[in-house]
Amino acid sequence: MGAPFDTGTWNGVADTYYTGSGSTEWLWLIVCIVMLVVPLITGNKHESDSYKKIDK
Amino acid sequence: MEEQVAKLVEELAALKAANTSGNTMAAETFYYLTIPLMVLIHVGFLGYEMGASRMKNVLASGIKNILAFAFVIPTFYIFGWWIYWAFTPGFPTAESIQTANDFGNPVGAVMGPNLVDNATGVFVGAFILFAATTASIMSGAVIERIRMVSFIVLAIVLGSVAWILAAAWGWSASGWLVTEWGYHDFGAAGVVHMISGFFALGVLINLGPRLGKFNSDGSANNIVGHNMPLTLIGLMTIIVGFWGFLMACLIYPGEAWSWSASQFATIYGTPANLSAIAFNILMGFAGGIIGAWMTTRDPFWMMSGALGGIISCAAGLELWDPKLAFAIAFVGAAFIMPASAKFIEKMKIDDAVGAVTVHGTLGAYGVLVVGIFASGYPALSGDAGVPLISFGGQFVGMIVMALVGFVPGYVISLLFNLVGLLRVSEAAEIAGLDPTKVPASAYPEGISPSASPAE
Repeated sequence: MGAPFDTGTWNGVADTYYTGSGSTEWLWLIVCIVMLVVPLITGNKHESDSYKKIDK
Repeated sequence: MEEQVAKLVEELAALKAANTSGNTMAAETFYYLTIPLMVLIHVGFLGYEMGASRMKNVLASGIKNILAFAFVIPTFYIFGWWIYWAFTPGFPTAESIQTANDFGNPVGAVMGPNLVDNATGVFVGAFILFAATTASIMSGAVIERIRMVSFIVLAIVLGSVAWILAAAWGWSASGWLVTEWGYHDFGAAGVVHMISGFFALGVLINLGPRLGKFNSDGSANNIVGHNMPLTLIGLMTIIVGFWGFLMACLIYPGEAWSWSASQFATIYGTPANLSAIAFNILMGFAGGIIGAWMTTRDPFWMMSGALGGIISCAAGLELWDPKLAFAIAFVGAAFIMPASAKFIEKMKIDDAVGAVTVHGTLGAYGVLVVGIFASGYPALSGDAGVPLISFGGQFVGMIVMALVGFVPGYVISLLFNLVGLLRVSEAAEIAGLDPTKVPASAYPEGISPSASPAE
């Protein structure tokens, strides 16, 4: 993680420069997808429980 | 032939002059437009704060917020801008005082209309809006019981002294936190948000909770504001204003004062661009909302999570992989924000709008995550040997920001409290601040009032 270059200077950095560029993109993509899916699952449970409660 | 060459040289010179002039006016316009965008932050805070107030205090809360903005403008002009230039070494030196006198002297030639200066007015304007933002952040936390004049003095200290001192130290390429520790805070998570949040915390300790907030057994009541939709729209409006705030954190290229001839840069001179921050503002915003929805289901905290998500990403906004920005915001809003709010309430501190949590705690988190995920980047432009971003540097910066915020807020509010000028009387608080002192009515035809259980 951290800077994708270790030259200690911005001189010569001319294109992508984001954290973990060229190494951790897939990791953060998976984390990001998990963080989208888990709220949908728990949100659905919360919603279903709320409707069941009012139906009783 | 010679005549033609001379004509071409003349045309080239004219084109060059037109290009230079065009760039200067584009730079001036760029910063000018950040100012009304940032005014939207204050529109948002106004609505947010009034919505979070009970009906009997709505206008008093609004007046307080408006006055904070108004008083910060001239005081920042008079001494805030000077402080920024004078204090970069830590404490003023002869050289930094000379620089401050050159660029920030309120009776000097640069601090007024000047046809050869297209920059100072728009720079000072943008900085004033940053300053006013700090005062608005504190304003929400202390609603419904603080005395107006004491609040205004606190707002001036926060907006025109405390935050700009922090900016001189950590939000300037010459600031000692940057040159000695490699501190990085692109979007002011520390110098604006932490300072404001910790300043508010210092004030809240002396101000005490609203009547009825805590029961004798230590449990807390939820004092409900009178208009949640207004609060939510206010929070969303703050987000709109944030685009101007973060845009103003970039240094336009091609001018004598620019870092680069052709590339936007951060205030530290390191490269960045609008595209980089557009990715990460949006991902931070979304991560904050979704994270807060997952753990709270509460629309107030969801929109606070939007704000908190951006604040969590702000310090490294131009550096993040956007997917990482989403994750940082998500974690901040889903877990750190509710834990912090719960802890603050447990300490019997009545932070009416969650300002300490959203700005103080998440600002600190935002500063620290840069040390975790963005270490190794050069903190300044220049050849190898400039300080690098590190966890240690970010940790030191976080401690400094907490102290520069907390200490003046605590000490000045303590002094006001000792002389009985900090808090309104119990009778006025129960009756409401609007009927007590405001010569206008928010809802003359009436709506159902809300009250805390203890009332």
